[in-house]
Amino acid sequence: MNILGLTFDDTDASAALLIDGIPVAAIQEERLSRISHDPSLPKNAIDYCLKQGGLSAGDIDAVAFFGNPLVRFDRILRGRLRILKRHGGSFRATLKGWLGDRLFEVRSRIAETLEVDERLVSYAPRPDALAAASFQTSPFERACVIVVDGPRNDMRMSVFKGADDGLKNIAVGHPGRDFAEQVLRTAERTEAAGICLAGKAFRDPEVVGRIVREARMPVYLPTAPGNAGGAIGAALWRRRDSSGKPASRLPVPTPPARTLDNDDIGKAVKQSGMAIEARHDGARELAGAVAGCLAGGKAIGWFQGPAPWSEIAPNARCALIDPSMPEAARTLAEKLKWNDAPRRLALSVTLETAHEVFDIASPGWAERHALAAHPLHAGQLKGLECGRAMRCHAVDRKDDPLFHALLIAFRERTGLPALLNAPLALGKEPLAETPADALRSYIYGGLDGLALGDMMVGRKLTL
Amino acid sequence: MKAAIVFPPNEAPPILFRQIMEAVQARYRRRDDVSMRFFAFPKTLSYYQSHIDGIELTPIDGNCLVAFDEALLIQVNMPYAMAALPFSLPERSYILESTGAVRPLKRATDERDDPVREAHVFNRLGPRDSLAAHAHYYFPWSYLYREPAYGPINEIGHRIDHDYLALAERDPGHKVIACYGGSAAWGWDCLHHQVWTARLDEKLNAQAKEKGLPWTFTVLNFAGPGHVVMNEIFHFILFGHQVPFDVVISHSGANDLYNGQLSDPWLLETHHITYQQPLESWARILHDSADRPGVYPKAGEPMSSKNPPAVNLRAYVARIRQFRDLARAVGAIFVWGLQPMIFSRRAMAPMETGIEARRPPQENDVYEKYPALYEMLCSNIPDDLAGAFVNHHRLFSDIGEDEWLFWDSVHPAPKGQDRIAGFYLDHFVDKVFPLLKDREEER
Repeated sequence: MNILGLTFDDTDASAALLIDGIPVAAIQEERLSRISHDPSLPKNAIDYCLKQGGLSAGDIDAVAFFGNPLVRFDRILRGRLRILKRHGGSFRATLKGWLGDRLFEVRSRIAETLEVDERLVSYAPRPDALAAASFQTSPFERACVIVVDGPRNDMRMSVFKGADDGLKNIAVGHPGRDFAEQVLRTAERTEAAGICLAGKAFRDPEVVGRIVREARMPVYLPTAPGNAGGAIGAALWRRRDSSGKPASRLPVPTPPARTLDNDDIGKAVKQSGMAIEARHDGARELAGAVAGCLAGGKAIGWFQGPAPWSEIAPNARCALIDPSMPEAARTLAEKLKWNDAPRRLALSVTLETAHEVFDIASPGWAERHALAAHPLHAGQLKGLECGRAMRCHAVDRKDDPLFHALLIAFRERTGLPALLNAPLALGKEPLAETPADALRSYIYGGLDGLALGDMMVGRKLTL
Repeated sequence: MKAAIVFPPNEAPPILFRQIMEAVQARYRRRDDVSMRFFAFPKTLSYYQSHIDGIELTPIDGNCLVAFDEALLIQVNMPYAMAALPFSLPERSYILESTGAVRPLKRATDERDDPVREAHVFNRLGPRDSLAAHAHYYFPWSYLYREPAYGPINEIGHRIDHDYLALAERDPGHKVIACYGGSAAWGWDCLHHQVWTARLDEKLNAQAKEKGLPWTFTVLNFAGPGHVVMNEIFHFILFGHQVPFDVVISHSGANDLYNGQLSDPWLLETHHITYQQPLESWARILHDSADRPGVYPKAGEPMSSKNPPAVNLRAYVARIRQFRDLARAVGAIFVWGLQPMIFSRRAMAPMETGIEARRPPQENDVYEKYPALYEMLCSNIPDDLAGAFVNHHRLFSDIGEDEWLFWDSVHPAPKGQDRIAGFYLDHFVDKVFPLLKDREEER
């Protein structure tokens, strides 16, 4: 059965494709359209997923849309009604927008785009889809699944019991101000093997960090816990077993990333007109060369392998700098032309040395994907405040031997156990998806070098 | 002729008075039958009287302006072109902007404002229906653009106020310099005598006189608003073949690197062709293809930089090289000036602060890419062009914040124009004069 999951009309439109229950592709529209948080019907993402799955639109058996437009409109309407007297114009604009942009007609818009029967499209309730996206990709057989979703002033918390026979909603309500505390208390009352988190609220690494540190059981959350993860959640929610009933839990891998090899990178470099400064044979040589540049005070872009299904990609698409440099965080933010404070910054460490830098016992899933922030206790990182919480990116040699080798090589040269890591995204642009995006970020930003596959790209150009 | 000049109802900063008064003088300089009278609104009369010497201001009331042949209404920051005015105006009334532009009030430009606009068929078929008649318009060989608001322009829209074709027959010591570029080179927001080409003409002749050089110079401005180097080449081919030029200057960069971020990727990469947004609109009108997607976003929509920067730079440099070869083929010395932009400044003058924030937000993405493109270009100037290159971008970075050099992100103010002319003069002394001498010895 081929299921297409979609989310759009809200921020972070995306598409995901399940073939026989297994995710074969998922991508955010912004990565392809290059429009930050693109909310539009994700035609590029759909095409990408179908291509990855070797399917055409006619092969789709079901389409699951993340959320229900009427439920969303109801929520927005209630919010607008509260401020109607003061902001009548905003109310009229909302109505006009919904009618003019056909936001109620999600089913027919999808059917028109894919040229499929409208009856194939179903709406996946948001909490259920988010819960499915977290629990069904988690390593737990039994879990307390907690979804905290919705706009900041109207968040909803849904608690599910996840087990072999699926997900059961056991509580719904509004979370309190300190919802991390609420999550911890709720989880403790269950007999689950772990906590699965989902929803926009868990995009905040400090909240996740606190839960990870204080929970008495392991914590899991998907690498795209917010809207973007809704597409895969909707598709997993729509999954049915052979008798047509909702499928019981079957752990599924996160979708594979777009394949990319050195030939693709070589073509992109050639097309960009930039000169290749050096080519490095093997991980060790490349890691050594990049570590040398970083130790020399340079800020280097790092583009390696496919971009994973996540909102950040600290292993694959990042910019790195020596964290002991004065004003390291500000320097990196300036080189990437960010205006905002670097909440997206992480400190990359090896799995073995994480405890030297962060106040945590042993890094888990959230740290491996830089989803949790923890207090720092490393005095030698002069550019960073001790005691401040920062995203921890713990690199396992098994997951990414190249990045691990880079951290080791950097430590050999400087004695420092960490690198400051920022998403490779220029200004307000989305994360670099292709080598061409990375080259643009490099050229238009102020990075001193770019490690693109096995190549180091310089700033020399033959005009 | 009786002319009334009306100071605005708001208090304009004194730094703008000089430009306004120069514009008034420039408008009537060539006429000896003009009597001028200055008016002010009662509430700002004493302000203007105390700041401007040598003129007597009369308070404006009722129908006092009707008896005049024309009225210039000075406008600073507070547009009143469309407002109902509390007094009657003569039929020929104009807005005089703080940049010195004089535009008809509530009517389109006519033949008195632009005497040569009916000279040829493509002018006659050009735009008439806009209050601001300046626009790109159709011409089979690139496009045309007319803007008579800043002073005289010729039949093609060039800021040339005499019959330059007569220069075909001239003394060997009379050197003609043809200048090309976009609106900054054309001299947008500056009066005829303030534009760098006019300033260069003056400086070169003064230098020749001072140093006893055996030359006189005429500098001709063939620039056109919006021009990329390809348009410069077109104008060189179309309008330069009858007059042998001694020197050709391309004062460019901004338009090529702007349009190069946005125009068709295949044309740019394969053939080094870049072009302006209206050209796609014309294709849609001609071929009734409005339903087909273009490459440029539609007017008013956000512009998103998309072409690879190195491809953009290569296209620009390839066309510069082509222009150089064409100029050399007809015996001219080629000069390539990279035009300065506001970001070339290390420190802004008070009048320049906030320029970048006032830019249309839909262009932000494209403008934000300029500094990196300029830096990359300046660090990779090819050897074969280095001798012809004048890097105004770098030269402007050394000028202090006490000088007001720009009106906006692209267009230099009069002082900036003068600085550009000064830097070209330095290049002439250093590089061009020796070549001219060599040529004369060869002859």
